[in-house]
Amino acid sequence: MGFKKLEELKDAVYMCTYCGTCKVAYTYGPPPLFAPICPQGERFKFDAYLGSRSKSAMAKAILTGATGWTDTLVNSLFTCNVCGGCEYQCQTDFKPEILHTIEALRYEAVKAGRFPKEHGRIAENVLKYRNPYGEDPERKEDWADSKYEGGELLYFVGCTAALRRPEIPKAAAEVFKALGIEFTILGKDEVCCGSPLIRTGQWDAAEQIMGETIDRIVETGITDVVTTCAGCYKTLTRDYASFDFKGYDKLKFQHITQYLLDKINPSSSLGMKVTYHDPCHLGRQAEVYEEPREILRKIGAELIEMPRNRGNAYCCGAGGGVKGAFPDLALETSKKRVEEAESLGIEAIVTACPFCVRNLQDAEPSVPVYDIIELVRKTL
Amino acid sequence: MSWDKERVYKKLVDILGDEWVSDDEFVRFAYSYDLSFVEPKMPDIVALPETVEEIQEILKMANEEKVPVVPFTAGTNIGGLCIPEKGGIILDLKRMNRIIEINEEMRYAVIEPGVSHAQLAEALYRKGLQFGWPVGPPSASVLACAINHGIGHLTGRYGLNSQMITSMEVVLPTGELVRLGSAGITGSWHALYPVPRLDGMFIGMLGTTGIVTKLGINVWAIPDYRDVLTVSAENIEDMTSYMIRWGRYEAADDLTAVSWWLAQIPIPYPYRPKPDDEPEWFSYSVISGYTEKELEAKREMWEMALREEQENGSSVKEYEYPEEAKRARTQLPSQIVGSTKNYAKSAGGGISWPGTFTPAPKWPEAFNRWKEIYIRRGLSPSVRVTLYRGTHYGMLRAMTPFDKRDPEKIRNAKEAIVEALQVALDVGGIPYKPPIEFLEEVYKRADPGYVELVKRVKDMLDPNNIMNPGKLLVR
Repeated sequence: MGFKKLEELKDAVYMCTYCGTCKVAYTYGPPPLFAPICPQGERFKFDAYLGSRSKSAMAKAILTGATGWTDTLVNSLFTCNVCGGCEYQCQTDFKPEILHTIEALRYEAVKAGRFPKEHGRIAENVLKYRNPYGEDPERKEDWADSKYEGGELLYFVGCTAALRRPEIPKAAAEVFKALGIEFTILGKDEVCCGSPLIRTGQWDAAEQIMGETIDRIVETGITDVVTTCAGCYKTLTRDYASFDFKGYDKLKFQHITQYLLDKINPSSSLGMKVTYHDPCHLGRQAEVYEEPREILRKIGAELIEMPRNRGNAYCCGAGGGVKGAFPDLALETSKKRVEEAESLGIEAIVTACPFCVRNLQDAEPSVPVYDIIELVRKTL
Repeated sequence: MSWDKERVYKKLVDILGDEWVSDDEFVRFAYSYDLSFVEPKMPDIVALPETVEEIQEILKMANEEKVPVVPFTAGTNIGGLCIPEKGGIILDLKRMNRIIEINEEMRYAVIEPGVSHAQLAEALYRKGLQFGWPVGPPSASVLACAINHGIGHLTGRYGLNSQMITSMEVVLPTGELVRLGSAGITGSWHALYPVPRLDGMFIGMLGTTGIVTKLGINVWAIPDYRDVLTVSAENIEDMTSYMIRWGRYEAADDLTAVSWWLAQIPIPYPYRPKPDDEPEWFSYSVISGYTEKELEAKREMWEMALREEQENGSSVKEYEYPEEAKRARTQLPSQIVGSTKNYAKSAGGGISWPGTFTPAPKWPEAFNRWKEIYIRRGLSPSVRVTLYRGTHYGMLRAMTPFDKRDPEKIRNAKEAIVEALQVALDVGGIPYKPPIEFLEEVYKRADPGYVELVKRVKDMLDPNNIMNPGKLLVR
């Protein structure tokens, strides 16, 4: 139980044949799809950065002592978005452990003191304030126009939505109200899910708060938990499942797109031409691809797919601690994704993750970027 | 090391900028090994040029400094070809990834070294065209595959991918730029004929005589109709006889047979016996046509060949492949067949082969001896045979997975492969994309005049022996 350490992943690492299938997105089709898939590989080009092959090399280098924590190794390790684009391409038995290996390498790097100082600040903030932004926990309720309590649904807002993208929880609350769904929020008592710590290898810090995160949820007595955050959803459903937190097994987590799919009954049609950006944490890493698309169709959006969609979606560039430690790289990547979207002649970019919204907006696209819940609200 | 690393590094930075040059230990480690049994060796510096002019400058500098230079595209071959025997500079050419021209009427394309099969497949498909896609990773380089005698599928009746070359541009080891074939005479990239075949100095030479910076290649129309014809046989003798009889019509785009062990996903590792009630060999033939009638005519020819074999008492008979397996024969490039999934999944990361061109009539003798070698060493005789240009070339190889965590298992696989190569040489086979362990065996038997000429060509083109030194073994 718990996080898999690098030594435990050794057998999986050696299942990587170094074949390089992970380097690019490709599907036979027809028509065939070929496209870059690794944001850091696109930026730095060296094979030491590109795809999961570079990370198996890294694991071998550290496990065998072939190299130490060289500057490039550390840079390659932490400029990775942990987006899973390479994992999606891989066909070997390394595949299920690729992301675990990257995070386990980061854990070792943190222990060795070789990690970005910006990540260290995130850990300090989470431990002190229970959110990665270092905000007073009271501010987690700033977006809420009333104290939401009651009902049999717990809305786990997440730190980024509550503190940086308040339009998302506001929209979610209005949607719930429009549908007559009573719900509860934890507000200032909601503890970070730990995703920023887990992804950046700060596992010791993560383990200090994860139990508390679950305790706060369990204490409400509500078992149905919904979130608008792709990162929280992936973390709560995947990472927590390898622990044994009391009451966790009774909880049912859903992303809001899963929860709302059979509940919404739009009173108007959006009539907007949009494209949908699959968040890595919701798509590849949690396999929630179709519900957001179904919702977009249901609310009357004309959905035009980007060439890289679903499992082949190109990361927005924010994840894996890159936005915090390497903002220029995060922006460079989001600009590429925005260009791909804009080339479709759409009127809006839609996604289902507050972090993606934020980073795609930072690229200053010519069209608005919405979280999907904002569009749902427009039609109810 | 007899050269000044600090000075060479600085000169590379002057040419490329510091962003594209690295001597970081982990960068060098990432370029030190590949899938194969070949012993890892670190380059001293890795550099990523983007232009032909930069490559010219680098090679002129490398000649002055007498520093080894190893060209690298995707690092996906399984012969250790890019592992630097004597250190030096690895020139990673992935930034040179332009498809310069696709000529639909003349059916050729002109590409740079970093163009992958996936990239070319997407671009050609838009024009209804295809190339000889190998069962390698989609990220592998088209150019590197072609100039190293890589093999393709769906175009097997036209020959190897090196036979698809129409023209080339090469930076010589001394930095001069040359164009060969029609591109060298008129600037049109359509043919290697009818001019002296100087391109041969750069094909199959393992990157030891220059850096090919542009390549013209034939491409073909995607046919409207396709079918996959599948049979089984109880033994290699019957399968070979069937393939030669059927191959003489030159009607199949791909005519291949695989042993029971190669048909398993993954290849059994370590070896396990084949169940008695299953055939030892399976074969697929991909046929195509631009009309139903053309396809039907080919089916008739195949049925005739099959019937003739059966009348001679052969065990060959129709055998239904699973749909997924049939699709995999035509849906190329493929991540699944190209990613080593069915070659090395669960084995421990290693994959190598005795990859040879062996006369088809000699396949039975070679396979039966390979089988003995492989089983003795606890390895599956996962062998594939393919005919090219009808019956002109017979490809024979054994995909050999092994566990890279265990030095003893690496050694065992390597010895099995070299032993198998010796058998292939005994019966007239020759290796392709050979690691130096293979060339050692080749040169023991090669005509001295041939070896001397290879040396002369190498010395003439590369007087300071800077290009991938040691890889061709003659220098």
